[in-house]
Amino acid sequence: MVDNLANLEERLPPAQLKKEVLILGGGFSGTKLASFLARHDVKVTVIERGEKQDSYFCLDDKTFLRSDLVPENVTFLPKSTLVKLSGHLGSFQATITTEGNRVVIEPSVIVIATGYSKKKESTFLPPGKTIFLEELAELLKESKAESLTFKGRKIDRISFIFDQVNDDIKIPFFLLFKTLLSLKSRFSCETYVFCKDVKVSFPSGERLYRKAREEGVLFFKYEDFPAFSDEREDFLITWEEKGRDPSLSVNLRSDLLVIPEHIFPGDASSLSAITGIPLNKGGYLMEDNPQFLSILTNRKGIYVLGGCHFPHLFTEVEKLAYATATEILKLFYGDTYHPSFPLAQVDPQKCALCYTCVRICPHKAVTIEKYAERNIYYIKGNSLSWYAAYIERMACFGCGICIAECPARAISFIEDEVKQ
Amino acid sequence: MNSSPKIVTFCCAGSGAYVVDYIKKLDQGQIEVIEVPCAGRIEAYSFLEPLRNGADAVFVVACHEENCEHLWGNVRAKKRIEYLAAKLGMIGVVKERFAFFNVSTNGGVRLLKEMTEKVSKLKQVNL
Amino acid sequence: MTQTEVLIVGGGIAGITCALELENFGISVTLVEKDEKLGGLAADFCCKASHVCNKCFACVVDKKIKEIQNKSDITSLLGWEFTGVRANSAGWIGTLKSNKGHIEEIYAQAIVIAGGIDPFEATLKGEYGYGIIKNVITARDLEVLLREKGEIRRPSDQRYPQKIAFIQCVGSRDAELGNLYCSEVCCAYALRMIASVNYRQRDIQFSFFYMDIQPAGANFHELLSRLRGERNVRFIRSLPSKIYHQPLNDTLAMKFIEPLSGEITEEVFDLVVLSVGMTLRKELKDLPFTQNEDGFLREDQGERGIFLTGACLGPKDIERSITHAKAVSSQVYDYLKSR
Repeated sequence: MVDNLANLEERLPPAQLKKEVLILGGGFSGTKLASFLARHDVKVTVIERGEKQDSYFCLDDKTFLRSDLVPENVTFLPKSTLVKLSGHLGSFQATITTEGNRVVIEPSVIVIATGYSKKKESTFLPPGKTIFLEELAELLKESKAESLTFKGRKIDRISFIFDQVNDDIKIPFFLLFKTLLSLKSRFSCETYVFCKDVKVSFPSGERLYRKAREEGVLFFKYEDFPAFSDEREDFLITWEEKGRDPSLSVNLRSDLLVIPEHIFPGDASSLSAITGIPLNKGGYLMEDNPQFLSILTNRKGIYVLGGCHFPHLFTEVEKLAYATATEILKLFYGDTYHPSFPLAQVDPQKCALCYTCVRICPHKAVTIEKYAERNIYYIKGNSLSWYAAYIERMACFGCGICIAECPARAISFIEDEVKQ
Repeated sequence: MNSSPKIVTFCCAGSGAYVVDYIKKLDQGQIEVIEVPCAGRIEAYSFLEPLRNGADAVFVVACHEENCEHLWGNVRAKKRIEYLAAKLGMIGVVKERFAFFNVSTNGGVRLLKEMTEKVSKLKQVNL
Repeated sequence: MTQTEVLIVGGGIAGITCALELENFGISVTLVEKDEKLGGLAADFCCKASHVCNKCFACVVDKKIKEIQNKSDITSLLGWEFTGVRANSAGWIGTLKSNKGHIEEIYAQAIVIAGGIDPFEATLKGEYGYGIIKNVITARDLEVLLREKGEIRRPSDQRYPQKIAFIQCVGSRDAELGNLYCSEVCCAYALRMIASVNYRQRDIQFSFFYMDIQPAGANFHELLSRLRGERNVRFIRSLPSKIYHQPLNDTLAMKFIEPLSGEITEEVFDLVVLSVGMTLRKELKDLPFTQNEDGFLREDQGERGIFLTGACLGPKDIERSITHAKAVSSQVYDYLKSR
């Protein structure tokens, strides 16, 4: 039995991070990261909720493995999701349901690469005359016909409507330009694009935009959303802007309406509840805070990668995957990992078990484990049992917020007492 | 009127610690800077002790909202100082003796201006 | 001749981040920077917070600079320019020239080019009068002004401006200049600056002249809707053709096409801020690296052991430069480990 932590530190073994990583999500970012880590002797488990991975594992930047081949050191678990998470950097306990069974994986580090989700929603649009952008791209790829047809009708006039939602996401425009140029090279349709702002802020964006205009695509930039009215054979688009002379309003007839798939955070809120990572204002994982540099989270040892934090272009996600690899490999480099001081500690005899520190800790570093007698720390073999609040040294950032909030003033810093 | 108020300033490691040089340039007598790992570390006791030891004012310098490395440390600190100022105001401690500033690592000049304004208001108050 | 494992060219945020990450792997790094101080372009940026942080990342740059200054095992050569490179049997030999004219050679197993960008030279758009009219400044000038003085005042008479115009896409998306690319960050930084100045100097009218607003960062949507809701911020989808100085009351007149009516309008402003784009840093143009069609360096130079990162590959904000530099660090580590 111990009542203060100072001599406890000498008796627990030093932190040695085993090189095991769990990646949630077998998409582009997850598989790229898994391949890279596996080459550096890291044991990786990738869990994917779908049937198979959404992307390929790659040997190096240029060679991709067939989707059914998985590199050495990587375990791929399809039809699996995370249901519970406990532990801290170096020894997480992740409970996964995989094909009906429950299994517990114990990695040192967790990477969340679950991506964003897309849905096809169309409420106000003319039924039977609407298609989604990715479906159109598929149609163009497969169609060998002389003219464009959709649901049995010949399409001569095609309109694209963007920015009704997702007005700060570039991904739809990347596909839009490719689709417009493919459309114009094969068919001679009148093509109109309505959007709030044309997003060209990616490599070659401006050049593709200019080429599309040279090919005859007309771009209309609206502030007030245009109105649609369904006619029998086609539909009418009326665009008026508040403050503009009504004689300048635009009236177009069109045969086909194309809208991009709606990008949204998917299941981020349940993942946030399981992992303790806050959501940002858009509903994606992890607060948009510059101190976290797009990959780090409030918890040591957990990283967010790619689309689950924000829908980035895939060129950007590739860089994020390598940046995450740097963060993880530097943790594993060398023999031991040293937590940085100051660290907070709870005096178990003063702890009132009010759970204030558990709730207020931004880094989820405080736990309470139920053991026979209250208000003690007890060493069992190589590990610790306790029934008072216990601050895990591997998870503590040393901010001291718990010290200020504890009503019993039971918490203090080890090694760096703050002057009053 | 107090021409040389004694001020105790708490600076957080994420932002305040980078602008200590600017704080020390405050044009008046005694300023003591205490560094804390996060503004959220500052408890109610920390505000009262300096006053009891003769300080005229207690200032807190913390990171901007949504820029705190510890997510909400700055927000907790702001609420705490506002609550304390309100409660102590009821027993006669004037609110000019407390101030909370948001700053970032490169915002030293702006901070100095805001602090100078606060100090000049403080000087006009009868403590 | 001195030697190092990795030579990093450029002491801006990308170079500093790369050096700090590589040092974690026990790799010996030498950073070479032409200026006498570290930090590059972003070292002069101001904080653009209003009531909340507006996520410009300028504070992160300061933190990284302080971090690298505290690390004694990273060698930083300040006041030295990287002028050339040649291969040798086991790696690369870089030629360095100091600002006083000394020449040195350094052997490295790998080289990372993080030379960065120059802001577009606004005098090339003569119609805006930059360099001739005092109250026409670039956004970069404004950053330095806000960082050093904390508030905006007109350069000509030091009075507070009442009407400020921000002109976007200066030097970018411009066929006449041959810059057929978007500099990606200018819309975001200009809007953040407007939010920041508006929070402290309340009685200024802002006019934002743009072509298309480019998003940047997660939750840009929130900043934009906040600004659209402000009554003293006008969004005008039109770029002015010329700026005239009116000497009588020292104001600036601008002609532009009013977007809703299509008619030519003239308006008077106190101060004009040109949101300049990015071009490759001129010292990098003389080096034997291949460029892409937009005038930035190609990421794949076809040489083993030469890596490139940061804004010299294409316009980037600070967040992406840091991510990119971290990404290249793992690739450099991978490369050195496999030798």
